[in-house]
Amino acid sequence: MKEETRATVQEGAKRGLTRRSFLKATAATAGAAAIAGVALEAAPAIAEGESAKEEIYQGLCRGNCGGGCRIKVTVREGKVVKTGPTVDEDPMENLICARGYTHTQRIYAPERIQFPMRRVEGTPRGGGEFERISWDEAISYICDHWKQYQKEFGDSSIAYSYGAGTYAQNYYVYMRLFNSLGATKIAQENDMTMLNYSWKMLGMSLYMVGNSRKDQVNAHTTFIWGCNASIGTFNRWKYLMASRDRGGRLIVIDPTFTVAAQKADLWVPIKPGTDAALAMAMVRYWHENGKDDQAYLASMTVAPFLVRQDTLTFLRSDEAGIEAEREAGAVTGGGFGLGTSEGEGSYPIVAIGPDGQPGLLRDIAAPAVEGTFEVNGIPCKTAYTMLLERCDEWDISAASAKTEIPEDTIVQLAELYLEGPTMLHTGFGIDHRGNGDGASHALCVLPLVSGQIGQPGMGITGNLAGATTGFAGDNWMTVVTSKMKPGATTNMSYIPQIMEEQQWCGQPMHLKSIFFYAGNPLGSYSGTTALREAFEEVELLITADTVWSDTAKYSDVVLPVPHWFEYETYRTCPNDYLDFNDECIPPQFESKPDTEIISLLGLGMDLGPEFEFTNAEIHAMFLDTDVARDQYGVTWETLKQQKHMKMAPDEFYYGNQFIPFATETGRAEFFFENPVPEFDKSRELDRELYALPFQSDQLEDYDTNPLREKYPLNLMTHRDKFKVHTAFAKCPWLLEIQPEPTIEMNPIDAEKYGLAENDYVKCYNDRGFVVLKLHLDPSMRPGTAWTEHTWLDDQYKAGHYADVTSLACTHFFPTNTPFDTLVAVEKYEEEV
Amino acid sequence: MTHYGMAIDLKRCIACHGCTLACKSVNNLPNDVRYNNVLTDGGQYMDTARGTYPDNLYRKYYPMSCQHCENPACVKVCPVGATYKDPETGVVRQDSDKCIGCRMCMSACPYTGVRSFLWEEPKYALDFPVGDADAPEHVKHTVEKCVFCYGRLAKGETPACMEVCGALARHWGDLDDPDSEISRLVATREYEQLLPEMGTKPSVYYLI
Repeated sequence: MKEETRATVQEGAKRGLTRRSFLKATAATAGAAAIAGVALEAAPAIAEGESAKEEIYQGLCRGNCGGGCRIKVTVREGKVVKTGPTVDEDPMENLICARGYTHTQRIYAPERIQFPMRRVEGTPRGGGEFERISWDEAISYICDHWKQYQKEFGDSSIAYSYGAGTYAQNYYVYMRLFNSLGATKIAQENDMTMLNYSWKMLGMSLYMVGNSRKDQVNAHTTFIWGCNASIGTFNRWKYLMASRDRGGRLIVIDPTFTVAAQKADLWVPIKPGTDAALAMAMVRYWHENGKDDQAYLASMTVAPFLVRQDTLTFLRSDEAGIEAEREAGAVTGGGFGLGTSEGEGSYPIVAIGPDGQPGLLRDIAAPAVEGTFEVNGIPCKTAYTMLLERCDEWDISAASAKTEIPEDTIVQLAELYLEGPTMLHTGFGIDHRGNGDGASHALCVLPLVSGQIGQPGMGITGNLAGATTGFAGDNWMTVVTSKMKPGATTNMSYIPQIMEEQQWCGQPMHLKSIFFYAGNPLGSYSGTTALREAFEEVELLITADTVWSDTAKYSDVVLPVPHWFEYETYRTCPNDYLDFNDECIPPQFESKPDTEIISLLGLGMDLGPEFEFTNAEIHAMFLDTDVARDQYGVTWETLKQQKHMKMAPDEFYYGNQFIPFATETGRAEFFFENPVPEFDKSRELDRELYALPFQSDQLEDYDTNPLREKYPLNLMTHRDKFKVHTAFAKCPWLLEIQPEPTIEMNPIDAEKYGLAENDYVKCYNDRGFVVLKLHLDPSMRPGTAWTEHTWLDDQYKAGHYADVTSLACTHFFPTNTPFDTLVAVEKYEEEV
Repeated sequence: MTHYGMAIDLKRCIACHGCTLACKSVNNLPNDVRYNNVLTDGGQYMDTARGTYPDNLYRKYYPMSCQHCENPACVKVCPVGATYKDPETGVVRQDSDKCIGCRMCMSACPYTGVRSFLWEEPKYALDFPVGDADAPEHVKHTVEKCVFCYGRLAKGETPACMEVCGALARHWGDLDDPDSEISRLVATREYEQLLPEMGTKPSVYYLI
């Protein structure tokens, strides 16, 4: 394979397949995981009633809520009549939520897109005037335009963007098309700052950065921090309860009195956006009191690495004047990670031995983890010393002032964390604020300094870990063709900038068409006012979706995709199984599975016979590897027959000498030598700042922001138990329980703004407005309010929540920052 | 004798409403009819708390459906025997063939909201029946409520809400069998029952 092609493939695998890695199977995988091969009821099964013949199928619910539920789908007379749980032998593995019971209402929803549609020429975008066209017309319309754009404006003028609306193998196939077109990827980096930090620091392994989700039962202390756990990690709730049943304790750190806080042994309300200060104070306290785990730091982290004070890079043997050969990177992650570093390798890392003399770290049994040294005339400090210096600002008193947590509570938290085994159950609450970068860094340091990692019941879990990264036997060459071309990658947050400048990272970029799939960014992303404005100059917006989402309504061409249960696919994450999704009923109306759409577009773009495939053929290709066949006994056919095949071991403890971190050094890398922006490589980061955790201000919701005078209230969202992003938003059964968008606000604030229970409230700022029904709730920290994430545009009385949020982000690992939003509120007086 | 009962662990329940939807689905319930609801004991609206931030906050969830009382107030007042206690199981059943829609049961029952009266021809989100093949019929001008999924019990299954509780908060079984899981839980755990002063002797126990 050509070098640039390989780079693109790896880029595709790494970035595009967000929560998976480009996995290489090894003896470790094979030895640890056996094939369970739990066969379900053969589908279709035989009738159970006398009159109505029933067929039972397996569907996979997959809006990427993180749940991974297998749904038992009952079909009578060709109609899906019931969706319920697949009952497992292990009650802990019986997975379903309220939404899972409502698929009949999604399958037969009036808002289904039935036919390919095109906006009527001359009518405005979002005006609702569409004409039905044939598939042939749709494909040739798209391809004719794309070819013209390619010719006139280059490959990068065609872009694609996806969310997580169908988290199974089918949507990866789009990569095959867009990689072959050299198209521009527009990432929708929801929730991605903390995930990226955790991967950079700890490496992406079998269960991301932690143990199996089932290991939660072994935890004695669990810190639920920045995670609305009863909703955000709903399917882990049973495991959290199980750890409590065994005497464990739940500690919740959250500004809001969430349901998890209600259930916790200790709830610590924290001022929003100050988590880094708290975490850094804990590190400082542990060190000051001799409670840091220096043995763990020395052996499993970069703590003993010497950081050159002149360059902020790790001191290596050639610089230290020590004779040594270059070496390849360590074999990483017990074989699940990214393999060894290639090329000529690096000179070995230098550390200070017990005798105070520098030597090769690999030769020193007990390296110094603290200290300032001069080696070969170069001033150095250990990485741990630099971390401690960074944390020094946050003594208990300073942290208390910042976080508004009493001093003795901070000490109590620091002490409780050491009463392990301790799990850090964290989520996306922290990186939804514009200073989530330094805070993500700070939180991920806690297990390392405390040594609460690498053993049963310890480490990081929640949204960051416990879900698998995917199946080691997948054939990622499926997203590759002989037509591969390198394409640019950017982030949704940068689209207005790109449209204005018509360039990206120094290369011309004239976006002319965006193809949206598996997502609804105009409902689920942030800064939609600015996005719609930026899209004005993009000539052809295309959406492939099942329902008329906000994005579909705003598009020029809309392609109907079946409901999840109307075509075959399989899934390898989030759980430790390969699961098959049956075609429970055929695709309705004129909808076509994503894979067929890809085939049609590939052929339409003259990409040749590599795009002649059926849905089954392309899926079979994904499982066509020696590893899948020989080590797991998995092929498309066996998986179709067995439905549910074990692929990852339950006992897997990440971050120790047996399963080291899947980083280049095999150690937890809490010091970043060369932090480079994930997307915008043209930007210079403050290297010193980004090398280590830091507490900074948020981008909008900071105390001294003069904007507060106009917009005094901080509006957040909470993950909604009746939706996954905007999916399920229109299920009638769920609407019975929660009929309309709400805002919850502390009664103190409501009184201040002259608002009362059940008032309709207009929340607004310079970007936009939304009208929500008010419910008074002292669970909310005064000064904050929240609404559900997220409804569809026509469900709001007026406006849209996403319109009031911004596209502001930081640039190391950007994500959208919807919680970092200030608004004013007033009673909505217009007719409702 | 069998005496079916339910114990719901309020320490675990997080109000996911899975039970409500399971019930809604298998019983093919009409629009706006729910046999089970998850009530918030807190503020004025679902999921809100009462009290003051941060030190004095209170919120608790009660999954709520027919309490299948040993001494059911509804049975006593039904003029036609449409609501009756099943002697084999202790389940308080409801016979829509006999029900004349007088709603005396609704007045007599102290547990507001567990019964629904179908004022109109029932309406559904979809134009074909969903749920279990033998889901109950829903008849205009009759009263209906949770019958512990009696049809499922007859097939040896559990009530639908029991099948998968996302918090493993629900327990089901025979209260007359001292060795049953539910009997042991009721014997060993602290519990509360709703409105015990009414003398209805509910078969639903809330573990606290």
